[in-house]
Amino acid sequence: MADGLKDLTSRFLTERHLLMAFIYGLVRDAGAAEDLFQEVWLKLAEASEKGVRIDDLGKWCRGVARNLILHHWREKRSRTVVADSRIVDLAARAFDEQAASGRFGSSRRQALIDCVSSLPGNSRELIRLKYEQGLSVDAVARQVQRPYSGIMMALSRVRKALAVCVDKRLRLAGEGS
Amino acid sequence: MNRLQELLLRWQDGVLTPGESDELAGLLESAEARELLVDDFFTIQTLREGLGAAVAERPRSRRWIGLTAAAVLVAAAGAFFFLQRPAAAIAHVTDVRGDVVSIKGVPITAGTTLLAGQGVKTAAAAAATIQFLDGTRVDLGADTTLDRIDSKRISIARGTTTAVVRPRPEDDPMVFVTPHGQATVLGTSLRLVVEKRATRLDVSEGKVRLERLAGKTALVEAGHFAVVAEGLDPVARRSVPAKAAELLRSMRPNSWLAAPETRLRTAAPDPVQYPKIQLVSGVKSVISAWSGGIYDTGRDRLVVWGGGATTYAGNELYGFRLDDLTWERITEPTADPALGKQINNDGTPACRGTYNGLAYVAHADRMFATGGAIAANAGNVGADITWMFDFQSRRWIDMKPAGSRPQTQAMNCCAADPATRKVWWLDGTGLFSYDVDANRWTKHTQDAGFLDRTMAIDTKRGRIIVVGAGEVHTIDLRAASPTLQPWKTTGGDAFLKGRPGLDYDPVADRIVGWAGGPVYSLDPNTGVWTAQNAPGAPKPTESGIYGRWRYVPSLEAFVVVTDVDENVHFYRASR
Repeated sequence: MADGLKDLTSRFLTERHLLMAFIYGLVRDAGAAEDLFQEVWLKLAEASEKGVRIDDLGKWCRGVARNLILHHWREKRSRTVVADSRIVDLAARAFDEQAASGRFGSSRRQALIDCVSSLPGNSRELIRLKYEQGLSVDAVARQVQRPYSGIMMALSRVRKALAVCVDKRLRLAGEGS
Repeated sequence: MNRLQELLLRWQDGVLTPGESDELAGLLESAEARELLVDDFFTIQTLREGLGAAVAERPRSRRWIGLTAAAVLVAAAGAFFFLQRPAAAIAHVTDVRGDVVSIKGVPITAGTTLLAGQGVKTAAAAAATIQFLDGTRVDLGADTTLDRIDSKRISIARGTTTAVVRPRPEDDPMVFVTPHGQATVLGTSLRLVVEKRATRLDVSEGKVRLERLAGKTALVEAGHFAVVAEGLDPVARRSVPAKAAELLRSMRPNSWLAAPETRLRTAAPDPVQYPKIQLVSGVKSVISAWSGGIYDTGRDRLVVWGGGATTYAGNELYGFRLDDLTWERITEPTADPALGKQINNDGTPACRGTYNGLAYVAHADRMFATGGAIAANAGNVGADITWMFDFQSRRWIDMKPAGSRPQTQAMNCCAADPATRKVWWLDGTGLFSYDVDANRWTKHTQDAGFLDRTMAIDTKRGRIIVVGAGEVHTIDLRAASPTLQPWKTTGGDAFLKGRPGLDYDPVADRIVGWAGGPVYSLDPNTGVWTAQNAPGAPKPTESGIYGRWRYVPSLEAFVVVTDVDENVHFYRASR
């Protein structure tokens, strides 16, 4: 691997989590998200070979990912493109704004994982069903035999508790929220 | 729940209506809402990857597996977005060394989630660890390709794959497929080496069914191996480290044998590249400076770790592989060690004179280490961190155990007992045990003065033998309260004054030790030591032999290394 690409790859991998968050958040399919992520890297390697100058790698990758996501949607369901593309653009803008703040880094990730392990068993199970298993709220509700609205409320409460816990941990670690 | 959160949840589920989609876009015009969106996506991604990795630390219940199968989503009437079942993550890459890529060639880092059907390739000199959601761990060696990974089926194209498979029901095994055959596993530890013409399976725990494609099947048990190739049906044979077995084939009882060209120094790091670790004596002190080792029975490898005090500050581990009779550097030294401290800035333990403070914990496949004389520590401050070196991931772990841990110092001793699954520890303050599974120390007795001793465990009787300072003591591990008991043995006075290596030979049922000169064996029934002189012994290490003298079960012989510039020696006792 050429030194330039090696350096770029290393920087790309540090962007991995936030980029995957962007892609998965929009396509909501782990397999498709991984494919798109890999496509972004291939485009990056191609750009590196052509000597394209990239100043803000995260933004550049999100720009490529945005186009790939829209393409992915076009292949899946052409009639939704207009509405979807608006949300993709807003999401890309949101990530550009927040990436610069450095708020969404590895310490927040670790704090979040630590906080999940401190949740009561029922809440952990809910989080696992929703995010590890990737079930919809409706599917979770049927799985645990509770009403849809109850699951929505429970998820909201758990996410709020996690947010409080993460902020507290980061404050204690001197990183603030 | 506010409206934005509700819409984001519905977005994730793919059930937004066109009206709701417009509403979401409208809300996202606000900067605060956009921040919440990033937080939401970031949290989801972290939970997807991080939670799976955390769950992978322990086996999942069958219920969870059932839930996965049951996770069929329904499309809401009038759903705006195309709805599909998300591909479930099956594993996480938890450790990466060197260049590791997906089958498409995309770099993979630690933390990457693997989805069903993906593949992983390691380059030469690279390695990776994959942790499945059920707790199964798969290690890829250098130049290895797993071309397709599913939750219960792994296709190996080439290279070395080591796996610790969690117990599975008989009708739901894990299957490893190679170009030559397939290995069906219900929960065991195994290694598969896939080469162009053949696949070799080594089983270190449990049983594996190895089947040649369109051929016969062999049941391979722990301590056995089998090879499958085109035209060659598998036959289970007892595993022996190949080159050592060949070397020792004609070795007679009560004889020594040197393995040619096996000096540890050949594996030492270049001193020019590591000037800060050299101190007074350099790598020679890995052995000469009151240091020991363990025998890694899983890989048939003598592992040596040492140095410390004013002599050497390189914290690298060395392994002598009996399979090919070569030394390897298992870890690289920390180039800029935190001299005088017990932990380096990179989180690894400081180099030390290890004495008898090392033990191989077979059920965890880890090396226990604590105590010793820290490098450049003039005050000889106690090295009281409990370390484990994980052989699968090649990582040191600061265990941070609970309980009353010993105030360690130099000249202590320990041994791992497979029956109690504890490491038993004796130092100048008393007898302790470290429960590996519970990660907890317990202090059993207050006994001053037991320094400079060596321990071995008579696994047949559940009894520790402690030797040194001219005395023998025993500890009955089956007693309700294990304590040190003096044992008057005969015939070993000269031997008991040295700092011997000591280990239990279960075939001969003898405790066998060597400190230079004759080899001494103790009959556990009579308490009589027998000295056996044999020509060809190496020059002993002046500071003591410690754990560098070990019994090798697969060869029914002892292995010892006494100096970095001396060949490794084997000793076969009389029967």
